[in-house]
Amino acid sequence: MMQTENSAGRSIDYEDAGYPVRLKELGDAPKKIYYRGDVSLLGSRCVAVVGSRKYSENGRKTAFDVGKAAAGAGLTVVSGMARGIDTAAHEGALAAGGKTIAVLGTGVDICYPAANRQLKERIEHEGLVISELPPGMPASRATFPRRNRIISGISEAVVVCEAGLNSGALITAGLAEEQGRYVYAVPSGIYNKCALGSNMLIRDGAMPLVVIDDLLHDLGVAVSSEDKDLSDMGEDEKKVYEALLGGGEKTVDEICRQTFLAPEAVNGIVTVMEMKGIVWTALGKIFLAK
Amino acid sequence: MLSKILTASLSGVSGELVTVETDITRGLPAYSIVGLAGKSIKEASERIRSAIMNSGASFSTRRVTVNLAPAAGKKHGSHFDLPLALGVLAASGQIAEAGARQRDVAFFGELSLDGKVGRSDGILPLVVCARMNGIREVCVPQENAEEASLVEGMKVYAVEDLWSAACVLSGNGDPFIYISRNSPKDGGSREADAADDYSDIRGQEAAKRALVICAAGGHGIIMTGPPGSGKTMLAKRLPGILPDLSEEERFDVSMIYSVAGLLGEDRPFIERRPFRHVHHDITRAALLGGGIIPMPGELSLAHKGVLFMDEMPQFKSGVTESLREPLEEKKITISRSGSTVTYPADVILVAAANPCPCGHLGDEGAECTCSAAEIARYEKNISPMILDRVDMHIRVPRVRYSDIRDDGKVTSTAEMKAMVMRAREEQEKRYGRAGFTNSMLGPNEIEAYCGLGEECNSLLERAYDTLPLTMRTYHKTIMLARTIADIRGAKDISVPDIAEALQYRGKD
Ligand SMILES: [Zn+2]
Repeated sequence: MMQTENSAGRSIDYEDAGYPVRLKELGDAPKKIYYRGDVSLLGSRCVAVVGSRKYSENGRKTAFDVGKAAAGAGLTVVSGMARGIDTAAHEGALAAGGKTIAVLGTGVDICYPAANRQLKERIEHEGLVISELPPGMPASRATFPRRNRIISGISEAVVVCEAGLNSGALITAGLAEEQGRYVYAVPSGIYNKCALGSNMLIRDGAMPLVVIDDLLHDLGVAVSSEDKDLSDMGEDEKKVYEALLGGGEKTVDEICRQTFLAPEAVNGIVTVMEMKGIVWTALGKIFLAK
Repeated sequence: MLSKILTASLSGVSGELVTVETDITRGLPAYSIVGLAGKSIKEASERIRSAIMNSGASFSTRRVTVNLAPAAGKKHGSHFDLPLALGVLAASGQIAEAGARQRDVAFFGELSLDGKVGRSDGILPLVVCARMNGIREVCVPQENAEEASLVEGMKVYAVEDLWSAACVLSGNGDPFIYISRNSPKDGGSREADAADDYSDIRGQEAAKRALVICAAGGHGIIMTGPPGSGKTMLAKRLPGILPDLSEEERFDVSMIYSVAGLLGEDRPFIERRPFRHVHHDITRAALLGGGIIPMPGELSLAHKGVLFMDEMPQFKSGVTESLREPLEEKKITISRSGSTVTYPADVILVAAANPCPCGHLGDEGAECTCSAAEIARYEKNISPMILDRVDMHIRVPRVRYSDIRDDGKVTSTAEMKAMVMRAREEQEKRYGRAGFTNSMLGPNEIEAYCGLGEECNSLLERAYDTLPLTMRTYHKTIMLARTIADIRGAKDISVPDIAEALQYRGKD
């Protein structure tokens, strides 16, 4: 196999054995893919998790959880490393100790957005960063829509978490449709502006992702649904866990009212559960990590 | 003939006794003041002349020389009017000052053109200064009499016009001796009765719990939540759960308010811990104090109480940064043309912030319209100085009232204060001085006073890896756990104390 190397990264050609088979199905498959990281991931089973740069906290959490669940089940999570949903999807995969691929709209030596520098470095070490653009190529309006065909091209399924009306994620979904990939969209309330596009995808025929397990089932990687090991929890921990099972996210006060525990007790329990990875907290609410 | 009248001069809240020496000699009519008189005193001469003439006496047609002794130290204040006028009357032989000289009476008060004596700022510290110099009688404006009578062992003459003050000086007539209606010693509280109670706030038990810890250990706190979630209501009630001011503290606080001109007949002294609400558009001078004659700012007006900084991320960084040293040293020193004035500034810092520029991030009631970049920029706007000075971060969600059952627990101010008092007693026992709280512990003291058992240490170590913690939050967590243990009245910090304290860490 022919591989060239320079300071900015390596590359792999269309003719090389390691070139992803699925990508070759595309009429306009890139001639050369530049990369940094573990190139063998191009041969793994991939699922794309994409969405808007603008997002709600719920959308962010969903992307994180889908990324975490898919990576936890052994799939490679593909996304575009943009702000918002993309970033959360990569982070979810990394949090599960799983694999993730970032498909850039710039050269692989460039970090856009700059705020994701740490994330990019982590993905280079624990996953793979690829681009069809030569090193040094800066961000531009034209390159981002083009790279979307690679995101869907190397993936078996595309999950659109939260996408507004003008989101690039909708382009990715359209391309995925043409390429014959599974397309899922996460349903959201009709007043959530960040999700107007993803909701419309459902109207237009995308599969609504009602529970994350559906995705894993469809791809045949679902793990037998083991309940969180409740035996590992104390009595009060179980109460808090059960209060959260009821419905997504709760404030400390809501948990107190439901469990009749004092705020100081709930706060302490939440810390312990956070450390165990059972729950996480953001914006004053407590979420089941699942 | 030379006359000598006692009064005092202020620098900040500390005073110095001043003797007004007036001499009348032959020469062209003139009135001159020597002895570092400030502009306000130099401009008093016309006012004094009118006041004397309109009181039916005559202003000297000879040369009047006034010396303010000691000569060092710039002297300011309208309260010099009265002693200056009495000096002229005595020196010109229109009243005998013999009686006063034997009794040592100090005089304070502003004169109006018609000879009436009106209220002055800073009477309390002036009278305190007189008392500290062994003076047992003062003559003050009627409107300041209650304020002056707070000083123990002081006979207070309350006067309305120049003539009644002259009677005090000469010992003739029957001057009005003021008898106090209040005493700073009886914690009697017209103010406290009217105060708001925490039982007015339902569905925010977690925030109230955090505020108990804040009050118990003197920890700075930042509350983040959407508009209308009740951050201001929560903060405003905080002074009510702090220990009552001691007599000494009441004096200290009242002196600042006296200098700022915020005491009066309706509020002769400050008996509750102050709550000062400042907004992001406040100027540096208004916050820290300033002016040609430096006046206390909001920071000092919050002394021994709560400084509430609303909409923290919108404060200009220059303004917040200027708080660093005063908050560290619990006092503020203002320099003005060669002289410096120091005001105390021992406050509990309470900051409030919206979660994002529009205020609705994470709020179920409304949709956030901010971009991710706007939100990131907004969070960065909280000054690192504030993050340093704040030990606790809490989120205050908007309460859906439909969720709250009537039979739910609603903690009251009295219950919260009882918890705070227990923790304060524990701290006083441990540190051996009143008012020293866990939030004042330095790194070495944390080691000495906040020993952790093996289990606590391993929990913290795990938290350090999994949550994650910074070194700064690490120390703060231990301090908070110490306060939480003190609220329980426990000698040792337990694992649940640490676990709870970890929820108050800054998460972003
Ligand atoms: Zn917003």
